[in-house]
Amino acid sequence: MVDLLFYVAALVAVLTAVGVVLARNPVVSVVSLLSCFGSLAVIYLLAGFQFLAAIQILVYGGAIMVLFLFVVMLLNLGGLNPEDEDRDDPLFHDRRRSAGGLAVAVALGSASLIGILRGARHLAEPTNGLVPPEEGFDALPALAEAMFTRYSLPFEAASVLLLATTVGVMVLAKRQRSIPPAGEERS
Amino acid sequence: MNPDLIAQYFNAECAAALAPLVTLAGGLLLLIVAEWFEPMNRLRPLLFVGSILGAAWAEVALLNAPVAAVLGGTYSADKASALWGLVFLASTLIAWVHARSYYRKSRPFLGEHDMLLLTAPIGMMMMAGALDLTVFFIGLELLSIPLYCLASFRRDRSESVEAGLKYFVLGAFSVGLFLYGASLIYAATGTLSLTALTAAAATGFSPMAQVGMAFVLGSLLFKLSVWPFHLWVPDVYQGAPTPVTILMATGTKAAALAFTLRITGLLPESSAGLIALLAVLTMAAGNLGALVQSNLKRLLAYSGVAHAGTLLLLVAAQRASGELSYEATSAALFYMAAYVATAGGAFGLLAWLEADGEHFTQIESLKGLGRRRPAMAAAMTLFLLSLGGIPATGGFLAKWMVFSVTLDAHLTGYAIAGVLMSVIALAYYLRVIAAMYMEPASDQVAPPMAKRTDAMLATAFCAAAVLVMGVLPSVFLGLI
Amino acid sequence: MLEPYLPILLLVGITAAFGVVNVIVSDLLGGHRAVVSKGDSYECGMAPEGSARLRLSIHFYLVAVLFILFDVESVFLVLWAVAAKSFTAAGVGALVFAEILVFVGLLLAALVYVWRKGGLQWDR
Repeated sequence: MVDLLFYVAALVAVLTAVGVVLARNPVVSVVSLLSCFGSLAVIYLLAGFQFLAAIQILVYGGAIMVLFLFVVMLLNLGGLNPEDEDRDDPLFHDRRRSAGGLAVAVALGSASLIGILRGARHLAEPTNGLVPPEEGFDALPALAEAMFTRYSLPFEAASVLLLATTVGVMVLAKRQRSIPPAGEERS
Repeated sequence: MNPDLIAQYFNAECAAALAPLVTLAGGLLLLIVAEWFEPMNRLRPLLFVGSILGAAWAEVALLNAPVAAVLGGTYSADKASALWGLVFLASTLIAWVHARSYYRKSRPFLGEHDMLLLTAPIGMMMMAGALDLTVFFIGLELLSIPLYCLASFRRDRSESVEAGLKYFVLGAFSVGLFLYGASLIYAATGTLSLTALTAAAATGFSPMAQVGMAFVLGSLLFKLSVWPFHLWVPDVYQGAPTPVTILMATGTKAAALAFTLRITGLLPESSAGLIALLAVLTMAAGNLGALVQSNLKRLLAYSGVAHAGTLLLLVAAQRASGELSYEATSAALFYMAAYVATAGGAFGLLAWLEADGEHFTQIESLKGLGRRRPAMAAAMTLFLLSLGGIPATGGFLAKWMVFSVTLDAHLTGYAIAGVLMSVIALAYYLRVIAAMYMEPASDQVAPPMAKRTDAMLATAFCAAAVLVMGVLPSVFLGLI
Repeated sequence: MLEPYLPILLLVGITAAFGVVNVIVSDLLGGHRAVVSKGDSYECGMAPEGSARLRLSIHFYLVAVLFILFDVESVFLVLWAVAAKSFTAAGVGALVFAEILVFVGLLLAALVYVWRKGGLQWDR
């Protein structure tokens, strides 16, 4: 049962991820991404990490999706119709180049897939105690202990990162009161 | 969890090791508090320089009493990371001083500019000192996110916004590569600690961990701007405001290099030849690209790619020679110290010129600079000669150290190819020098030459550092 | 292992069924009579004009990103809250509390900064 659910969730995750890239309409992309996040949450749940699954739904499925929708509406792209396509864009027409890129991607992808499949036979148990218990809910106290002792540097650095991001967002998105004359920058 | 465990994590050694990071974070906090109240804005330079100097002082203290590993072996403040820290701080300070004369005083968000600039070295230090992939990852983000914002800081200029977006999209891709690789490594080995991973790699990685390692290396090569991950460099370096380019070209490269040198033990032994080949290809891509540029900023960006290739030789040499030697690290440290002064100085002069108008970074408009601004032209000549590796400059000794380490590791063919590449590089550096001194100026393109005290000071400092490293290298070599 | 999730599955099933069944039932029970006036716009309304795709103000983006940042902060707080009692029992509660205070303090500084700079105001 668990195995079956995993394969279904994994298949949905892969298909929707492909859908995000291939969809012509950005809103379809966003909805595919939402489904992808949902199936990832199912996979986390099956692995025994309820907390991670909940975070996945709350932060990614909730907040980040809202941001994506805002950006889509902000840019107001609409659907990319084949007729609207920029005929001069070489990326759409240089078939030789895109075929070459695809060939390289397929070669690298299959090489890494073979490596992963060959290595999948001997996986190692995590050595940091962050193993989900067989029954019941996941090891949040163990996670918290790791975060406040061994990983306290990345934990505190994460708050500096959030602070810097707040500042960066203000720089990028806040309306500037005075915009200097274009081109020149004089003291 | 018992209290002894806590005492084991948070002790005096830990405090000493984290002191530079805490100083910078404290400076950041003070800067943000200064931003709350308008009258405190005047304290900004004091706070910025104060926290940089405080962090540098803490690094020097660490240099005398290095700490091998703290916080359960996730962060190291050994001699090498303390020296890397000084390199990052110097790079940040040079970028900041140039930014002072680059932007108008009335430009909005200058306080934010300083905050973002002060965050980047925190990330770099975490990258250089990381003994755990988690610490490295947060460090990488802490470096990258401020740089994405800073690259598009001139929002009124489309090139700047484009540079920020390009850097962000490709940077996000490389971070994705890193995370995927790290998760594969974790699945295969059950640990993220570099110490444990090095031990595991000595007995042979499983294929899955090797694939993961390839992904991790790919993302590092992106930050180092190595072929074939270098395509973003010319556009981003050119489009970003030049003071930010200083930090990107010197600091980011140094941080990525420091961590790459730390993880050479995780690479398979057979990879040394491949990495050396990548190094030579990178030098070729950088030098051939630079030969055809007409914009000096873009030329220097390609030259930065070529320098990344030279530095990658050190990674190959360290892998080829087997055990982790300090030799490659010390060569890398000297090279990057010289590069910070040289490239920082050269890009700084460009910032000086660019502040008067975009087009003044064209080689065309530098014609006759030798007569109009002899001091500026002399400084530029010095920096270009040092980039080319001419004796009596810091760049010469740096290159010499890299090639001797490469030869020691029996990568003779690659070392010779590297030397040949350096000769090609001279061609385009000399072309710029010739334009400055030999060709008459045309009046339409002459820059107005505003007086900029800050930029002058930074340039004088860089020029002095390049000369001292070239003539009296023992001052620096003694430290390393 | 999956038994605890049975109520959730049940809830999801009921929710989905509620939506689908209602649509089907109203389609079956309701009448279908096409009258011209049904197609008209309502008497005090107006004929729909233009595209529904409006370009949003950049300010939405600022608010959304700020929301995400503080959302992520709450994730870290949850971890602390879950384990706070066991930390106190182990005698290290004060230290862990200090750690979370630093974390929250930095973000509080960011919040005050955004507030002072008018990031929470709607500018036009």
